[in-house]
Amino acid sequence: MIEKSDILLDSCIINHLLSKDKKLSKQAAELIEALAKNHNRLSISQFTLYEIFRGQNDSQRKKAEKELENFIVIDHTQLRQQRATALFSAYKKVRDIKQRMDSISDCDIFIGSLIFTERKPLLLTCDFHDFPRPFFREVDITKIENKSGKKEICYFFQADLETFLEG
Amino acid sequence: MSKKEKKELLKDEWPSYPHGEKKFIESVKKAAKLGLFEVDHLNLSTTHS
Repeated sequence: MIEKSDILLDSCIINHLLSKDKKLSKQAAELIEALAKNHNRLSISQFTLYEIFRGQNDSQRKKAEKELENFIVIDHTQLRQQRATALFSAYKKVRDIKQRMDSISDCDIFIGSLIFTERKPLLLTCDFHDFPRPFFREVDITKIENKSGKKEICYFFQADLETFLEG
Repeated sequence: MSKKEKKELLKDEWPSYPHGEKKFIESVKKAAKLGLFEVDHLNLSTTHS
């Protein structure tokens, strides 16, 4: 199990945590709690709040906001915007990624760019294809299960800083 | 953008828990009981089919 790392929780993980599927939400909570107790520091992006809250009614939004107040939220600064822009440009130089850029949202690019820092934080996500190789390297996986028994793989990704710097 | 300029972009510190780790874990447990969203609220399967 990963320990003593900064870990950014992707929007899909928060979606599972807030899911109507009780088994899925419980398993997501247990995973997050286990990571926190293993001395990892867990964060979410401001863009995850946007993805989670859009389309929700006021009642749902307020309930979720109340609990998410205790989460670390990585906000949108000029430095982070510049890094996301640089990552977008680097993606476009890789043919395989450029060909499928329409399937990678701006939120995915921004969230992914957050882990390109000197401290080498990790990203926990269920969405393998949103964070393309060679910019992201898988360092570990775990699985969570929904009420139908379907297992979903959760990936721990680390940014490849050299690929970013050379791109 | 030069490699040197990109290196400057990597100098980024993240904040700490706003109300401490204990409150964070409590909120995670409470959030899991809210049951707010359909499984595919983010519409992931259609975005990335």
